[in-house]
Order: sequence, then structure tokens, then C-alpha cells
Amino acid sequence: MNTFLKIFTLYFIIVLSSCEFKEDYEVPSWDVAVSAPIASGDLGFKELLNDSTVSTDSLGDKSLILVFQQDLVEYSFDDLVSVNSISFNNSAALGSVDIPNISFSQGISFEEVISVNPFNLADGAFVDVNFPPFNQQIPGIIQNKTIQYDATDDFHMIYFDDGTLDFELTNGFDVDLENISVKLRTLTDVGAVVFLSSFTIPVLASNSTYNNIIDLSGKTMYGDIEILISNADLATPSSSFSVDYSDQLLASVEIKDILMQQALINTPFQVLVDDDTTFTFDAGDAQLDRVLMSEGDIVMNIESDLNTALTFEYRIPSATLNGQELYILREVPAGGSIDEVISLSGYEFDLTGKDGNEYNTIYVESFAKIDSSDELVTVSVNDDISSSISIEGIALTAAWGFLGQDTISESSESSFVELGNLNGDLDFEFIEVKMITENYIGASANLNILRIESFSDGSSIQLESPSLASPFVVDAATESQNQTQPIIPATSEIVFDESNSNIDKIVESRPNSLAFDFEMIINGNNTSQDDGFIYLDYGVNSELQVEIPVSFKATNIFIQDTVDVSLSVPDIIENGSFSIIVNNGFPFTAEFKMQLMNEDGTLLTELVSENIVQASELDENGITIQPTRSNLRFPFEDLSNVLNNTTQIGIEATLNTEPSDQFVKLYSDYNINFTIIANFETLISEETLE
Amino acid sequence: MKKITLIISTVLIPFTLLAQNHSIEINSDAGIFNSAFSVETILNSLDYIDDAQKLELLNSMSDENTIYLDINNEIKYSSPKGMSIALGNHVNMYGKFGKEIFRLALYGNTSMLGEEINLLPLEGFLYHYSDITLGYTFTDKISVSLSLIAGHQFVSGEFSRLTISSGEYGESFGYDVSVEGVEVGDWEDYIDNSSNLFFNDGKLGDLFNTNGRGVSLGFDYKDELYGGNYQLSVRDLGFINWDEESTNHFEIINSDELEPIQIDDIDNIDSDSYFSELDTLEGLFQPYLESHRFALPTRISGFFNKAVLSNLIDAYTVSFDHRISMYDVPRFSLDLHKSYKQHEFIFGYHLGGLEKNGLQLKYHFNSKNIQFSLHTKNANSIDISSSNGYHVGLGLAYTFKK
Repeated sequence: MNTFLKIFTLYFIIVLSSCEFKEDYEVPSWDVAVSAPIASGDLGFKELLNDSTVSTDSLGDKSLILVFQQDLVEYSFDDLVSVNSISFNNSAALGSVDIPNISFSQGISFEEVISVNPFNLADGAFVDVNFPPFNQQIPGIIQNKTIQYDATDDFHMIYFDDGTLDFELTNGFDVDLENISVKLRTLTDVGAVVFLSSFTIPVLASNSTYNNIIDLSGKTMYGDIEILISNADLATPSSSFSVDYSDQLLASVEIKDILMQQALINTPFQVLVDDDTTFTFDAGDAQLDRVLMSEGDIVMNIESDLNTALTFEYRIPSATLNGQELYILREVPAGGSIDEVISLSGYEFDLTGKDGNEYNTIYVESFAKIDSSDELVTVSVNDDISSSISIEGIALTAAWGFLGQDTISESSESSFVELGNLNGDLDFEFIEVKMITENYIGASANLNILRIESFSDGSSIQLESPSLASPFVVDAATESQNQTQPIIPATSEIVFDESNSNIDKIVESRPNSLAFDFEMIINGNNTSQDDGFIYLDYGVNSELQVEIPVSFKATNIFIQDTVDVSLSVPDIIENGSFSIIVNNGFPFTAEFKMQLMNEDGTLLTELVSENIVQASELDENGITIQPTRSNLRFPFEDLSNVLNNTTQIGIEATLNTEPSDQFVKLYSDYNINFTIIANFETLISEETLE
Repeated sequence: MKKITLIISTVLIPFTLLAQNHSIEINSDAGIFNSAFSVETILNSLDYIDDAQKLELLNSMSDENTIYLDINNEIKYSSPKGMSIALGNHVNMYGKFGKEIFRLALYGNTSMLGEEINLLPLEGFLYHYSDITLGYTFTDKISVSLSLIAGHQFVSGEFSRLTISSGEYGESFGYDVSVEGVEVGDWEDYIDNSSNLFFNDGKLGDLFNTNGRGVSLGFDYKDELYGGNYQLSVRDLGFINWDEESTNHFEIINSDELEPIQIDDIDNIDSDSYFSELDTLEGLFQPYLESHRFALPTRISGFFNKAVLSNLIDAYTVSFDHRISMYDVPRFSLDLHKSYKQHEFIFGYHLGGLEKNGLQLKYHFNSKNIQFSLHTKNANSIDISSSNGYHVGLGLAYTFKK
């Protein structure tokens, strides 16, 4: 093997032996430093004192006026007018149904008598009384002749309470009749005979009329009426005569003055109820002309014993909804009833009565009837109907009229938090507190302020002012045509400042609660009972407006706020910090603390900034010309567990006005812009990649 | 002299032009290189990377860095009449990345606050395919081959824009990105279930699913010049059409400034809104199915060898190799040959291409019927402080001589 080969072989051996296969190699891991913005925001004075309102002196130099609002009184509609429920009943018996008189007449012609055996006489034949058989009485010339009349169009059955049947029998023959036996009877629907009356007429002279009036009281009559002439004798003629076929024995019947106990008839038209009823609500001493219902029901019950349906109508002309008067029409079935509740929500009621000169009054028209039809129905004079109707659960959206006189006394105590959160020394240049009362009721009120007292840290201060000695008159509101804001409130304002009260001491004591006792008399001065109005949800509101021109000195005032958070922090996070980049346009410095708390509010750790937020740069007039930018760092170590358990972050800022020895004024364009950045080191490893 | 020439030829073209007899051969080679880190630096990083190691990693990088993986396996039969057929499997990976993206990954963004950072270049591809190659030698000088390709996996991505910026204190974060990519195969599953890649329910694993089809051509021309031999070759002149149903495209073009959530009400911070912006980013990734034609990185190569009369060497070879769209400059090498009986030893130096300049070695054994070779393109592996990769190749052939 030559030298080249030796060198080559040696080289290969070295190459192979140089391949180091280390067994403890690991997946690489390393630390990286990450900075991530997690939140940003703007804070103006509105956010710093977020329960207050801030207004701008738009006519001046855009300086700010802090306006704290504190509600004192809030009374609404239900405290003033309540209206009772009303109800009324109606009942009516059917009574006697109006059944018309029934009359008919039918005859037996002379032809039927004389043209048959044994006479067989032709029309116009001369009859000589001297020749038999006409020379003597001829018995039984008429036997069992029946005259029938179908009266079922008028009734099928009547059980009479009263009534008469007039019977007339007129002999149109040229010869007298004797011994006429008459039976009046009716037939039931199954053909059974019911006799009404029977009688005998001894003599009925030619061209004369027999009359008989039969009392139908207590009798029952059916629709098929029969007159049975069971016998009539021909009397001996007094003179000869010529046969006239058209002569008739005419029977006439008239049933009249019908008063039934019960009847089976075609359903008749019958008015059962026709009443107007007037009601007056009890509204205390209020005299209302008009109300608008927000709630209320008509509860209606109608029961009928009738064997036929009836219609029932209620009409309240003074109650309207969308221009339509309240009208209820219901059909009550035979022997049935109706129970129904009808909502009156949205109805407007005119309470001036039928003639327009009443108050708290409505009237109701009730009407019930049976309509005629071909239906056969059994009616009884004792059948009746009954109804009850009530207007219940009345609640009003609005009411008009004299609202009455009412006195309301109330004590309230409410929190007064805004300034209570500012700890430290605070001195305002000027304070003005207005008590603003807005009256949304169309009636005046007298307001007596009995006590305004502030409480802070166990001490209290009572407002003292000569203005409290006499009641304040709150004028009546007026109505507008705007449906979304129907009322133009009357506003009254009472001003308390250092010149007329000790209000400055109350405000600067930064009270955390405020007590208020008052007495309010509605229509206290309205002796003439002038009309007014009231709307639901519109009452009388009073509030305190604390107006402070934002010019103050502050030393070590600190404000606090707590933010709910949900942090999920990997275990591999090591050291790090939070940064807050602050652009501060306010003329005060600020020191920040971050308090990490768990869900119980227990402080887990407190992160303190290494530096402070610098105050803005001011010109010679004390106005910010340049915001300052500050980078606040909150370093932490080994906080993974703490951050994972953190559910609240408390931010505490301690403020000091700069320069510290003079009042500074705040302007509407001042704000603090901030960005919160999380800076942390984390280990990139196999676990991370998984 | 003839003997030397024959040996050199068989080495340069592994077993492809064996004598005019039936022969069967197996060739395999695998190499991985990067231009940035030495093997020693990489090995030192397989643990916790401290600040010194971070600095070493960064200092060893240039503005543009590459990583290159090439694995080829082939079995081939050649007939005495110049025809051949081969079955092969190939994996090729190429990536180019910049220094800044590595700095960001190592240090995080805190050290870059207030800067706008260009993270380009960032591009790369990886493909895996099998082929059947039919070859035919027309004359003593010209031979051609046709490969029928079954594509298995492919992934590529190229960022044309990628910058990030942040505020001075990290109060904002901005990005500008334009990227286009193609993915063939279920890469997420390959990574999560790598053990199932080869054998799954008794079948050949998902790695060999056919997701694309293609062809490529090869040409060889050889001749004599100045008393030596030269050859010019073109390989992999072709493409793979990746199937529509398995080819995901995605394009993301976006720029934005991510601000932290704005707190309007300090008492009521809605954390959902904070993450909605991240959701927006995720929403930009909307892959769609579309077939993709991938042009294979065509290889153009050549060599010239000539015997010399010397006691030290028997011959020398000058060669070049270029792969279009991968090499910025072609790979050049100079090899010196020395034979001893049936053994030949080749010692060379290379420059260009995707490897760092260095030594290369090859050993070749040639008997009557059996040929064997072992070679490496990176003989610097002996010194891991200067070696930037590993490569090894094996060849074994049997010639059915009468």
C-alpha cells in the first residue's frame, strides 16, 4: 500500500471516529423576552370620577365644572291617584212573548146540503114550502161537518195564562137552522184531540149570527184547530125560496189577547234588557275628567235559562281605543253562560258622564235580545237571564282633572360617593350647590325641606340656610304634543353657596351619605280646584347638583379602581414586569400601585411602580401645552401562580397638583392616555412546542 | 492508461456505464448541509441555550442562510444493449432564511422594540417522490433517460414580504406579510403520528401515497477533449403535477397595526374583544384546493478528467454541478485520483453550491463482477467546528460477466 493509500485510510478512520453520538443531547431550550400590549385607554375627568358629570364652560375658556348629581326625591303616579273597582248586575225574565192574534173563518155551502140525496136540488130550483119534505122540520141536515185551520205558522202550542177565543157562526142560508151542535178542539202533533169547548145553538135564524166568547185561561191549544158541527136541523121554512148554492153557514174564530205561560213557537224577536247605567268611581278627593288606562279588565258573566240563543251587548260610549268606543257583543247559547275577561289597557275613559258635566263618572248601555227565526222553541214566561259585569284592577297611565290635595312626607338617605373616594387634602376655590326640582305633574306642589344632613366618618353636618324656612312652590307642568316626551316639566331651582349656607363645609367634608327629609303638598295652593294632569312614570324629581369649577389644590389625593380580570399564565413565565405607558395631559403627578387580588378580594401582592407619572408641561397661564410621557414599570418575580389566581387588579393612583402651592384649573381637552404592556421572560422548550 | 480511464469513468458515473454486460446496481446517498452553523455549534445548542450560545449562533450566520437535505436511493438494471431501468426514491429539501428571524426567535421582541425589522428571506420547499427511469444509450456519446414520477409529499412556502414593527415601549405591534404556499400530504398527521408513517394497518404507510404524477428527462453527452474525457449532463428536466384533491394552496397578504384593546369602561373590560384580533389573523389563512405543477430543480453538471503521469496521482477531474433555483453559484470541485490494484482513492476539494467549501473523498473497489464505492461530499466532518453538515454515499453493483 503506497503512501497515498495509507494517508487516505487513516483519514477515513479519523472521520469515523470523530462521529460523536452524545446520548444526553436534549431538545434546545432558551429564554426569550416578550413585550405585549394588553390594554389601552383614555382617562379624562369623566373616567376618573365616573359617577359624576362634567360640563364645559363653553362660553368661557373651556374650563371644566364638575357637576355631581344626587337624587333626592322621585315620586311617581301611583302615589297620587287610585281608582276603585266598580260592578253592576242585570237580570231579566223573558215574560210573555208577543204572539199575534189569530183569526180565520170557513163556511159550509148550501150546495153541500141541498144537492145531495134525498134533495138533489139544482141551483136556482124553486122550493115550495107546501110540499114535503120542506113543509116540516128536516133533522140532521148537517152532520159531522168539520172546519179545519192550520195555525202552526203562528204557534205549535200555547199554554194560556190568559186569552179569549171569539166564535161566530153566521147562517147565510134562506132557511133557519135549529139544534146546532158545535165542538171547538185542537189536535196535537200526533193527532190527539184536545177539546176547548162545545155548545149547542137552539135556533139560528136565516141571515143571523151566533156569537160565543170562550176564555182560554189555563187551557192548552195546539196549532191544528177544528170546528166540528156534529148536527144541525133545518127548521120548517116559513116561505118558499129558490135554491142558492152560494149561501153559506160561516164559522169565524179569533184568538186574541194571548198571554202565555208556555208556548212552542217559532223563535220570536224579543228585547230582554235595555238599560243605561251610570257609575261613579271613588278617586278620593280627585275629580277626574279623563283617564287613560294602563291596566284594568272588564270581568263579565252572563247566564241564560232560555231555550234559545240570545245576544248581549254592552256599550260604553265614553271609553275609546284608537277612536273606537268600547262595544261588546256576545251571543249566549241556549241555557248557556259566558265568563270572560276583557282588557281595558289603552282605553281612554271620559269621566264626565252622559251629559258631560260630571266627574269620575261613566255610563254603560246594556241591551239583550232574542232574534226571530224559524226555529221552534219552547218559551216560558218564567225563563230568565242574569248578568254581572265589573271593572277591576284599574291602573292608570294618565289622568286629567283636579288631582286632589295630597301630602307626602318622606325621609331618604343615599350614598354620596364621588368625593368620598378622594382621600387627601382637597380645597376647592368655589362651591355652588343647586337643588333642582322637576315637576312632571300638571299640578303645583309646595315643598318643605325639613332636613339635609351629610355624614362622613362618624361626623355629620346639617345644612343651614335661611332659604329653608319657608316652603318652595313647584309650578305645574304643561303638556306637549310630543308623544315620546309628553310633558314639559316645570323646573325650580334653589341655590346654596357659601353666601347663603354652610354648603361648602358639607362638600369639602366629602360626605359618603346624605339624609333628606321633606314634605310635599300637591295642589297645596289650588283652592279653586283647577284641572291638571298626571302621567305614569312622571312624577316629581328632585336632585342636588353640586357644581364645582375645577380649580383646586390637591395633596396626596389618591383614587382607586378595581378591574376584574381573568389571567391564564403559563408556568414557564419567569421574571417580568408590567409597563404602563402614560401620556399625561393633567397638571398633576401620579404615583401608581397595582394590587393583585384573588376572588375573595385578598391582596396577593402589590406591585409598585419604580417611577411616577410626571405632570404635564404648563405655560405661564397654567394651561397644559405638552403632555408628558412616562413609562411606569412594575417588576415582578416568580409570579406565575399569583397571576393565575388573580381575578381583580386594583389600581391606586396618588395625585398631587403641580405646582403644589396654587390652584390648578382643569380643561375639557385634558386626558390621560395609557397603554398597559406585559413584559416577561419565558422559556421556549419542548413543552412550549407541544 | 486505459485502466485508469476506465476506473475514473465508473467512479464519476456510478456504475451506469458498466461494461457491455447485464448488471444490477444499488446507489444510495444522504446528505444534510447548512450554510450557517457548524456541527459543533448545533451540538452545543442541544441543551439550554444561554446568552453566549445565542451570540455564537447569531455570529455564525450571514444575512442569507440555507439548509439543504438530499436523500436518494436507487436500484437499477442495465442491459448489454444500452437499455436500463431503475427504481428510485428521492427526498429533497431546501430552505433559505435570514438572520433577523433567528434573532427574533432567540431573543423575543423586547430587544427589538421601536424597530421595523425585515425578516426576509424566508422560503423553502421539500418534496418526496419515487420514479421509474428508463434509459437508452443511442451512441457511444449520447444517452437519454425518461423518468415516470409518482409524487408523494410536497410543501413549499415563500414570503415576499415579512416585516414586523413595534412601538418604542411595545405599546403597538405591526406586521406586513405576503406569503404563498403549497402543501401536499397531511403534514399535521405526519408530525403527530410519525410512528404510523411507514406501516399502517399492515399496508405501506402514508409516506408512499401517490399525490402527484410527473415526468423528467435526462441527457448525457460525452466525448474526448485535450486527451481527456468530458461529459455534460442534464438531469431532472421535468415536473410533478400534484393532484388537486390533495394540494392545499394558501396566500396571505396583509398588513396591520395591532393595537391593544381600547378600554372604554374601566369597570367592564371585555377580554373577548382582545382575542378577536388574533382570530382575524387566523381567519386570513384560508387554504383552497388546486392542482400545482412543480418544476423539478433541474441539475446541469459536467466533468473533465484526464490521466496524468505522476507518482502521486493517476488522474484529475474537474467537475461542476448546478441545480436551477437552488444554487446561487454552481458547485465546482477538483478531484485527484490514485489507484492501487483494485482500489481507487479520490481526494477532492469543492466550493460553491449550498455547501461550505471543503474536502470530499471517495473510495472505489472494482473486481470482476462486483463494484463497490463509498464517498462523502463533506470530508470536513472530522472537524465538527468547521463542518456544516454530513454526507455519505454508498454504491454496490454486480456485473454478469461471461
